[in-house]
Amino acid sequence: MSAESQSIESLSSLIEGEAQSLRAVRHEALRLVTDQGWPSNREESFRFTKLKEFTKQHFGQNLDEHAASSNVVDDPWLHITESHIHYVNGQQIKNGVDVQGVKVDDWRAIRQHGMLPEQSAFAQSNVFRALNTALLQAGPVIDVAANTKLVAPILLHYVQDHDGKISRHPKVTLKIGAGAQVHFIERYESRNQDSAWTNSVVDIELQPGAQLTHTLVVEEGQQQFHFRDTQIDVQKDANYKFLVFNLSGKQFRQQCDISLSGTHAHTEIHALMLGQSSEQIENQLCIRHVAESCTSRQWVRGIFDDQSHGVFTGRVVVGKGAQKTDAGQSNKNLLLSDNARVNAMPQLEIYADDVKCQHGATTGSLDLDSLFYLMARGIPRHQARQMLIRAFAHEIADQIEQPFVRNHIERAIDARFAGQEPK
Amino acid sequence: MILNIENLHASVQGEPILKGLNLKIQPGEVHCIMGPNGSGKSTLAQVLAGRDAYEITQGSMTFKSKDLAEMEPHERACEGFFLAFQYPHEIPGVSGLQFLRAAVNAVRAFRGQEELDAMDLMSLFKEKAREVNISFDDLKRAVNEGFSGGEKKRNEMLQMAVLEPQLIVLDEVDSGLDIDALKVVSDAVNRMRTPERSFLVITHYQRLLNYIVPDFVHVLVDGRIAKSGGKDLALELEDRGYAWVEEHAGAGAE
Ligand SMILES: Nc1ncnc2c1ncn2[C@@H]1O[C@H](COP(=O)(O)OP(=O)(O)OP(=O)(O)O)[C@@H](O)[C@H]1O
Ligand SMILES: [Mg+2]
Repeated sequence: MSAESQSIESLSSLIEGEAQSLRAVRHEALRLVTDQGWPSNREESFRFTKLKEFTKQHFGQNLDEHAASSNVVDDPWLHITESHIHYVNGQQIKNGVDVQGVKVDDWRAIRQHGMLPEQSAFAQSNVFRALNTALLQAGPVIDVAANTKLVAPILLHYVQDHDGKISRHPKVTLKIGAGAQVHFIERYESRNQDSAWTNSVVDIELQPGAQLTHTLVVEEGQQQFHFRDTQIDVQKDANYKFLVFNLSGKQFRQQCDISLSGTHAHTEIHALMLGQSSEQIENQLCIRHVAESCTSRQWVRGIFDDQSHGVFTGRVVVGKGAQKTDAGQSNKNLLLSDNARVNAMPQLEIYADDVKCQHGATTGSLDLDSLFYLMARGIPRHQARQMLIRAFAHEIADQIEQPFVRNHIERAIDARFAGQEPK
Repeated sequence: MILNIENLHASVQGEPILKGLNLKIQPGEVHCIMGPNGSGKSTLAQVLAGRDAYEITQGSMTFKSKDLAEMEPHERACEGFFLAFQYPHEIPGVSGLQFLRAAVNAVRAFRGQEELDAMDLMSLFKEKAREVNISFDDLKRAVNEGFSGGEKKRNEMLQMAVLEPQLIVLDEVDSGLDIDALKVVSDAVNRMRTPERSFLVITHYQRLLNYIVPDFVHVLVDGRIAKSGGKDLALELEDRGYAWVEEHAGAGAE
C-alpha cells in the first residue's frame, strides 16, 4: 500500500520517547495495516466506497506541535460554550473545559506518561482503526463523573488549515459515568481546499442511566477525505442520541457500531447527508441489540445533487437474548439531479423471537406538485425549491437544541442548494 | 378586460382536453362554470395557473392584456391571478406561516412594495385567519398536512384573502364543505368582491350560487363552452341535466 512507507516513517519519529508497551501496540497495529492493505470493493461493507482516488494519494503527517495558526481562536463556534476543546491541524491548542465532574486528558499526555488504558481501547476491528492506533498523536480523553449534569455542551472543534497534503488521526475517547447527562458537539472544519485526510476514531461508553446527545458536524473541503470509525457502548437504562450532519467534503465514510448492552438502553440516530459535485457520503450504521427490552431508531435523510453519491446501511442485529427489542429505521432521499444516486440498504439479522422491527426507505426527486403550489402563490422557482429542500431536511435539523448550531445547519443547506437565481 | 381566452386548445400527454374555448371576463364580474365530470373545468383552471403538464396547442389567453402563456406560474400570481385548488396540495415540513410569509413578501416584492415585517404579517394573518375560522395555531402546522377537506378549502380562502388577487378562480371550493363551512367560504369570497376584482367559480352545485351570486353561467362540455346564460341557467341545468345542453352543444356557445 502506498501509505505504508510514509506510515512507518511517521511512526518512528512519533513514538520516540513513548512507553515500551505503547510502542508495541503501535507496531502491532502497523503490521496489521501492512498485512491487510487497503480494503477492496469486494468486501461487503466497502462495496460502494470509492477507493481508487483515495488510495493513490500520498499524505504526510503534521508532527509539528506548534504548527497551529492562531487566527482561529475567535471562531464563532467557540462562543456557543465555554467548554470547548480546540484542535488545529491535529494538534490541541486549547482546552477550555473547566467544569466540576469533567476530566479532560489528551492522548499526547497519556503517550508521554506511558499510562496505557486497558487493552480493549486498541481492539483493531479494521484497517483504518489500526492505522489510527499506529499513528495517533493527539485527541481528547474525556471522563464525566457519575451523576454530573452538564448544562452547556462540550464542543470538540477540529480545524484544518494546513497547506499541503496532511493526514490526521484523532482519537476521541468519551466515558459518561452512571446517571450523568452530557451534550457533546464534534465539528470538523477545513479552512482550505488542499487535499487532506482525516482518519478519526471515536469510542464512547455510556454507563448505566447515562444520557448523551452527540452532534457531529462535518464541513470539509472539496479535496478532503474523512474515514471514521465509531464504537458506542450503551449500558443499562442509558440513552445515546446521535445527530449526524454531513455538510461537505469530498468523501466521508463512517462506520458506526452501537451496542445496546444493558436492558432498557435506548439509542436514536438522526442523520442528514448533503451531497454535491462528486462527493461521496457513506454512513454504515450498525445497532446491536444485545440485552433485552432495548429500543433503537434510525432516521436518515439524504439530499444529493450533481454526481454525488450516498450510501446508507442500517444494520440491526438482534441477539438471542434481546427479547422485546423494538427497532425502527426510516431512510428518505431526495435526488436533485439525474446523475445523483443513493444506495440504501436496511439489513436485519434477528436471532430472538419477540422482536418489533420496522424499516422503510424511499428515494425520489423534488415533488413537482409542491413546487407548483408554492409558485402558484407567487413564490419564485428558486425560492420555492429552497423551501422544499429545507422542509425535507427540517425533521433532522429540528433535533438540534442550540439555536446557533441549528441556524448554521439551515444556512449551510440553503447555501449548498441555492440553485439558479432568475435572470 | 381582466381575462380574455380565445379559441383555447390544450392537451395533456397528447390527449386534447380543451378544444376551442372562449371566455371574456370584465372587472367586477362573477362568472360560473359548470359541466360534467371530466369536461375540462380543472384543466382550464390549471392551464390558467401555468401548470406545465398541460400543453397549449392553439389559441390565446391574456390577463390584463398580458399573454399568460409567456408567464411563469409565480409571475401570474404576482400579477394578481389566484387559483383556489380543487385538491389543495400538502407540503410536509413547510408551516402555514412560513408559506404565507414567503408568498406575501414575494408578491409585494414583485409589485415593488416593501416587505412587511414580522409584526405586521402576524397581525394580518391573525385577522384574516379569524375571518375564515382558522385558529392561529393551525398556521404553525405544515401546509394542508393532516387537515380535513373543509379545512383545506378554508386555507385556500386565507391565502386568497392575504394575497389580494385581481382574478380569482375557485375550483369546486364548495366540494366537501358542511353547511357552516360553505357559509364561511362564501362570506370570504363575498368580502373580496369589488368593482375591480373578478371571479371564475367552478362548481357542480347550484346551491353555491345562492351564496356567491354570479353574473354569468357557462356550461363546459367536452372542452368547449356549450351554453352561456345568466344565473338562472344554473337552475335550469338543475332541472334538465347536462344531456339537455349536450344536445344543443355548439349552438349556444358564447
Ligand atoms: N394530468 C393529467 N394526466 C392525464 N389526464 C388528465 C390530467 N389532467 C386531466 N386529465 C384528463 O382530462 C380530462 C378533464 O379533466 P378535468 O380535471 O379538467 O375535469 P373536470 O371538468 O375538472 O372534472 P371534475 O368535475 O370531475 O372535477 C379528464 O378526462 C382527465 O382524466
Ligand atoms: Mg375538476
